[in-house]
Amino acid sequence: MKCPIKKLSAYMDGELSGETRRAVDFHVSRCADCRMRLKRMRLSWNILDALGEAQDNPYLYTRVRSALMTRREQPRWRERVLLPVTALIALALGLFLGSLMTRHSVPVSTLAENDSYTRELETAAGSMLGDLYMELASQQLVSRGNGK
Amino acid sequence: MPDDQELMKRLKKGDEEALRLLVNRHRQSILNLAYRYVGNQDDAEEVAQDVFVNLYRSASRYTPQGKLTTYMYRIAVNLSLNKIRDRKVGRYLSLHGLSERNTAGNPADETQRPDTILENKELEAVVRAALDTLPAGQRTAVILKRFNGLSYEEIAEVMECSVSAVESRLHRAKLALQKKLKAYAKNE
Repeated sequence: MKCPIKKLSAYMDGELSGETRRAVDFHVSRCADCRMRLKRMRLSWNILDALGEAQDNPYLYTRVRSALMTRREQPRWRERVLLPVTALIALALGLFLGSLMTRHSVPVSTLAENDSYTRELETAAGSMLGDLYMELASQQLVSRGNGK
Repeated sequence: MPDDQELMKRLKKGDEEALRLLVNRHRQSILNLAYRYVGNQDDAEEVAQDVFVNLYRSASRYTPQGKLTTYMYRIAVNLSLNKIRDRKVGRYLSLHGLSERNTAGNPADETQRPDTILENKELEAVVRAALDTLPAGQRTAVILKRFNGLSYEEIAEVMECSVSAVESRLHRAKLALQKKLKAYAKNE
């Protein structure tokens, strides 16, 4: 039998069964190289023990429970995402509308100018109306005189 | 004492006492599994905590196929790998650097590690560095086999792969570890 190098790991772990295990068993008993390979593999495998263990934490359940409670209390996505986003959109819309209104409104200076202009117009209109009134009144007087 | 499947049925109904029993029954093996990946107590406890939180949250979807531990180990392995990925491992001394120091035969180096405790710490760092250089699949197979004593079939279930894939990964991992730990194996 050719050296079953790829089977040595499973052989070491006791994972071979039946005919395969017996064949490897027989081979290893006769092959010094495979015995050496197995020995080296076992040595490095045993060194892994140096990795040690974690310390026990008898309060792990308390931690788990606390984590579950905290996550339960956290606001759902609607409150976490939807509300801030809605508020942001409302704010942006308000700013946009505000800017639109400002753009289309008359500046204060123009208003002031318009105010004096309006006063001039009013004065002009007033004098025109006065003239018209005077004219109508005189016409009426003339017609009365003619009627007599 | 109710078995794991019975406790999972109770957990599905929101029974927190079932969760307490499951945590107390399995916390040490989950802590150890996480510790062998992440390398420190704090991170291991965080991973273990999240394993049980996940278990509680996924209880309604859990279907009893095989052992509960297989299911929990799968969660623990994934969370541990995520933890390692997040913090970008690399803070441990490289195996190469340590090997050079230990095999140099420099008297100054000998005085730097005079007692056994330090030697053990150093050996632990060497082993961890050796494990960290393995691809995630090989590392998982090694940890589950060496420390959790799972059979190839159980490892295949945890890793969701074939038994022959587990066999192949373990074979390659052992050869790689043998190479990296050669200097230490001689002293055994």
